[in-house]
Amino acid sequence: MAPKETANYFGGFLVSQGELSQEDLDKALKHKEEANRRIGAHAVERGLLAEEQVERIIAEQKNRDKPFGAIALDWGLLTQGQLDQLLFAQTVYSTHLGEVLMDLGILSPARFEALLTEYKRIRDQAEEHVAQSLDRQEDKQVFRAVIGSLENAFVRFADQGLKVLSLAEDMEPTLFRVRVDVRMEIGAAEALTCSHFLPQDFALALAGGFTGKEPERCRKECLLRVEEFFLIMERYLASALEEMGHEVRDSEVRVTKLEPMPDMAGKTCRMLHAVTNAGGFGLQIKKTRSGK
Amino acid sequence: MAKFWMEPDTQGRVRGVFSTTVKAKIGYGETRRNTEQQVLMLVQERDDGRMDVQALNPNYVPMGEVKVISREKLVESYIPEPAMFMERVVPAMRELEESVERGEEHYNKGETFSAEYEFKNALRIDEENVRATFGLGLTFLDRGETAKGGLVFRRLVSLKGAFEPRHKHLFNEFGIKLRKNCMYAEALKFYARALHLSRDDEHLHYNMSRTLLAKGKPKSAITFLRKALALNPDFAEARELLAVAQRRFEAEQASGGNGASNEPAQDKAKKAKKSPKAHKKMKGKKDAMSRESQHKVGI
Repeated sequence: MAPKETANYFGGFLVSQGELSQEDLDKALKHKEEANRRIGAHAVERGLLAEEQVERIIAEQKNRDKPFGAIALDWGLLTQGQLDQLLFAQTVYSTHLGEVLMDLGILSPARFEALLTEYKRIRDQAEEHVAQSLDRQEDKQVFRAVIGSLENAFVRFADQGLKVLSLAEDMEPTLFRVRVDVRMEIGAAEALTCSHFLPQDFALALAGGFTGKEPERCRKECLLRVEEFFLIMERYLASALEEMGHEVRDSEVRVTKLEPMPDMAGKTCRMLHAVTNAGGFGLQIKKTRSGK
Repeated sequence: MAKFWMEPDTQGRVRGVFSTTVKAKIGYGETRRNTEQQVLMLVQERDDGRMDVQALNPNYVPMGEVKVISREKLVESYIPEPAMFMERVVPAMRELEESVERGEEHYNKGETFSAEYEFKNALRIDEENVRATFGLGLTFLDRGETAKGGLVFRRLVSLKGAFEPRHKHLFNEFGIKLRKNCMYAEALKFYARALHLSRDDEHLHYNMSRTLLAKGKPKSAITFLRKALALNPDFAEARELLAVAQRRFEAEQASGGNGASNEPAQDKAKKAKKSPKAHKKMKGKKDAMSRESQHKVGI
């Protein structure tokens, strides 16, 4: 399982380095979103499926939480060869942020490679920093708390057929400014999403601790650093889970800015005291599909 | 015969774009019906006077099966499209070639993201381009993106031209990359396909045996190494590996083993990818593998 590199991860780096304006980044991300078509669109374009069939599969996906291709195969609408052909087309026509920037003439291939090298160097340094931090007692508590919360969430619910929604109740919802979703395909569950809601000061402290800067000076790169942090945590967690015998098939981290935090007070909530007390952040666990 | 409407090659043979009508089926279920479509074909005359005919894709690049027709059939059913060859086909082919070359240059410099960009651009012009498909797969496997690498592997196995002798270095390298990503089943299938077309290639036998050995199958590895040595008795690396395989096989026999695969080792490698500390260990291992690859055979 290779670490995920989301668009805003590299994009955020480019903005923080002054290589790209936020406007250009937004434009490029929009362009990327438009270019990356879903597999159903490729199937219609190639005459393999009719639009009605695609719509029926999408509707079924909502009930079964299964990939588009798996349903099309189950229903005998596509053969494995045709599905591979579509997946290949999707890969060929998909585009990364860097490719869009090259297409738009914002970055030359040489500049892109140079920035990518720099980005990897910084990321490796950050990874090294976290690895070293884990050996230091004072940081250990914070890092361990995050790992612990994720472990609690995933180990506890991975093999249950329950649908769990939980959220810290002892914090004002409007305090939360950053949401981190860690999605894992693990155990009997098709997919588990663990959403952390971080208050602004916690996110800034995390970014500060991660970069060695004053938290207040990390506002611009806050989301990027939080994502870097959780990507590393995700890998630690995956490793820990596998050692415990839970197979992690895939995982993903997504960081979003909340403005303002949606009020979830009306929803079914359950406290996870150990988690909220230890890390000072809210936690929501949503199981997208009950166990087998 | 007058060829004023055609683009002759340097030897004066026909080479040009023609349009013709083909029957096709469109629609689904009850609405499915036969229809006639106008398509563009690239026609190239053979030495014997017959014509190789290949359809042009929407980007004016020849794709799919090459059919052979007679000169009479050409005159009867095909309409010349003068200027199309020079104005459309040649520039498209040039653009395709340049994209693939740029991709290969980036790949050779280890710039896998730029390489991916160029290979994808090439495949958007010609989805069946073998070199670009290999290149794209190699970039994915280089980065350890095994799911995408597996997809390209399945694509290559389905492409008719992928295992032609001119792509030998590519499919050898691809197989090695599959093995290094612990995709043993895919690597074996890949080599088996290549061997089917190139039975006298000792390097293919050698690479097959390396994969079998990595998979924990020393007995089968020995069989392929013997074949490699039969083809080239001076093949030093094969002889060395044969000694290793024989030692492993004997050890296995002594411990009452049944040739089971080294699954635990694979799991370990898989797990090691997850943690940064272990990742570093893998990195070290990878470097060692790169060093090893300097001596590898068959590339």
